[in-house]
Amino acid sequence: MSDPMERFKQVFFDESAEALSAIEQHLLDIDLTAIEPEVINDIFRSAHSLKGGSATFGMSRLAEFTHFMETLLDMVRDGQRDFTQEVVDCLFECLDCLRNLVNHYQFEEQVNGELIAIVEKQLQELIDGKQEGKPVEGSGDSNLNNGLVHGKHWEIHFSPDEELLLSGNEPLRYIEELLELGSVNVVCDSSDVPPLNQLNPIHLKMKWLITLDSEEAISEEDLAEVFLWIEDEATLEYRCLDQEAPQLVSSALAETTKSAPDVKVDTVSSDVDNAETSKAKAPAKRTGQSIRVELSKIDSLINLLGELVITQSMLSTFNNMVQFPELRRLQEGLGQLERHTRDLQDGVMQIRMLPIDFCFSRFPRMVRDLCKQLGKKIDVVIEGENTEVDKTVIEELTDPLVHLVRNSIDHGIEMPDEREALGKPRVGTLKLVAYHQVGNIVIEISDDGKGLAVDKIRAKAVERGLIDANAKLAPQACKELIFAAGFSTADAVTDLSGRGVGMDVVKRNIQSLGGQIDLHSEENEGTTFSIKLPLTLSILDGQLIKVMDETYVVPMLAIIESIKVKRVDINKIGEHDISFKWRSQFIPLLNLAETFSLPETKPDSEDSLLVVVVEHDNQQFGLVVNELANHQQVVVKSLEANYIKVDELSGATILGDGSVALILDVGALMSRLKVH
Amino acid sequence: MAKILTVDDSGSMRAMVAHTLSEMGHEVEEAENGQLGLDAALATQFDLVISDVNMPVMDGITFVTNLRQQANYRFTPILMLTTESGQDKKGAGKEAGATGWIVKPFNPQKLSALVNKVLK
Repeated sequence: MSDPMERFKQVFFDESAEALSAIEQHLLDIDLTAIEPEVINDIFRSAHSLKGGSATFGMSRLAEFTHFMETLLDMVRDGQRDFTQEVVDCLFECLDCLRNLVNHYQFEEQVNGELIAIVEKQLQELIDGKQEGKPVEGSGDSNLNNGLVHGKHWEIHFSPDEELLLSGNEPLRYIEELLELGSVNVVCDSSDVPPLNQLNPIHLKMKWLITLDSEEAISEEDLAEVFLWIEDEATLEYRCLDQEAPQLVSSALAETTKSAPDVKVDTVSSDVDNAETSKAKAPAKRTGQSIRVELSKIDSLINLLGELVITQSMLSTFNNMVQFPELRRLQEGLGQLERHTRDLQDGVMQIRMLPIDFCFSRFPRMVRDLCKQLGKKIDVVIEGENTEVDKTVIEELTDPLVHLVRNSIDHGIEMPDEREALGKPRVGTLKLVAYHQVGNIVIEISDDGKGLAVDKIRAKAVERGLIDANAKLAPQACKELIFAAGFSTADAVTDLSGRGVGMDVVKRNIQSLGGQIDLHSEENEGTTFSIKLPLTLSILDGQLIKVMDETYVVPMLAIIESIKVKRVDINKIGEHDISFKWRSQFIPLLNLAETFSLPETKPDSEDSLLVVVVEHDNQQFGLVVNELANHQQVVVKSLEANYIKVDELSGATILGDGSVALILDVGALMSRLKVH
Repeated sequence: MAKILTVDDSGSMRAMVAHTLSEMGHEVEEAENGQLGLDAALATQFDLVISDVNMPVMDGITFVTNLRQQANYRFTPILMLTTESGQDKKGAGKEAGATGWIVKPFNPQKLSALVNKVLK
């Protein structure tokens, strides 16, 4: 990253991502009956920036494509072409191409040449469609200059307008630039300069006759190039002194250069009008200020903070300082350190937090495309899109959500006619809701479609051998069979669902994030999936428990309650405690000391056991422990990264006293129970 | 060494222009749109202003028009960054009072040559 150009490129990629989502948002929001000019301006600007940047950084393919797109947008902006549905559709496709091209340059993704060719053709058709009536002027301008006289000796009459200085120009610069072409002889005509007492220094009254002798042949174009910036602010005549140069051509050319400004003035004034009207409108909204920081920097900050939290909790174990009055200030300081550490922790975790919108924002587009494909009509309602959640959680959450949304559209919401027959509105509704609930984020995906058909699911489950034909199942349990591995109710595997990713994978993904998924469905009323996830993966709200001499952490999310159970109430098989009655049902017991083969250091004499009742997947079981210790936030350290993956443990943490505590994976412990 | 203001809504372009000019030994200030550019130009006297055309809040043409009306910017060179397709923008920029323009795409070499041309 030491090469500055590489660094600017990186900034450009970040900008492109922002520009693309800005365009997408505008396209989704657009109301074709009342288009705001500022929206078109904004889209144009985004495409324009992409073009400028990509060309500068040598991404020719991207520059070429954005040029096409910009041409169309420019026509729309100038009112040469209406902003129709056709244009919107085409722009959506352009977005796909742009993403592909940006990814190509950023991540070396393969260019989808086929798609791009198709879209470019569409763009061209849209551009040509409107141009027939109004040929674009000015294109002949440069062509005229081709096939010009070349010569080594030129005479240049340079008479600048008297206002030239007011545009920050300095005639001498241009004369000096001619020196690069050859040797120059300059004669200044100062006859128009008034006497000193009438002289206005702002007005330029001088003219120059320049003769240029060059080693190589120069065309008039080369000369015009030098004076390009001021061609409209000066009278310029170029005469070739070489004998073969026909006089006529150059004077004819002088004509064309002179007539050119007239054409331009018109476009200029209309452009200034445009600029003013857009300025009169309310200034474009700018979202909150932000800076870009590499994720690794934040991660190392979080790591350091984890160490700080550990040090702090280590210091907080010195709590018997009351007996030393002289240490009172130290004690107060420790109290403050604790508070500040907690605030700091909250603050740093906030940095990693992103609004869930980062994940939700893709759905309106996706639903729109799917609807078009399936002939369904669906409104997407999004609530709580500003709810914040850790970036890692968002990344891991996206795939499962995409699957759930696809499912709702494909299997849930009916075709418009079918809906009408059922007395529902023709347009279905897909709702995405997010909110916080005590240290967790809850995401609900609901549709008002046909809901889960219990009979159909049951039949399918029997057919797949997932349940016995005679098995008795509550309707809710039956519906939850859709989460079972190898279950799919789609009669035909469509393009949307049935890609080999089932609901079981969705559930597994959510659980691996430490979350849970519930479903609620009524036939003909719709289905709601509700996902509950911890806000972050790097800090865990945990209950410390002691088993023999070891300390473990149980995630708070999994705990239902902690109770004492009398020995007489426990069912045994041989020496082993197997189950006990809890809230009128028998649930299994797992002895952690046995599970982790801990040496017996505590006598087994008490007449009751301490049991922590935990839940996974709606099934409860009890963990036998010796002692309940603190409830605290622990910094999760990966076992896999530091040691090896251990099935029953989801990680480890360092406690205040410097010792390591292992974090239990409740789901994995449960499958261990099943083996028993 | 000159004081130069670069106005562009694209951070990557701004960064590239600023880097190139700093390498040349100039002192560079950046602004994100015309409005901020105007604020900066009124606070400090710059020897050269380089501005993009398409920007939110205040576009480059409006910015240059406003800047040129300031007594202390009557003769200051102002360059506009434009793309080849923006033929009419060149005219608009000139009308607003720009000294000249730099056509995108450009590389650091081209930029420094043009800057040297106006900073004599």
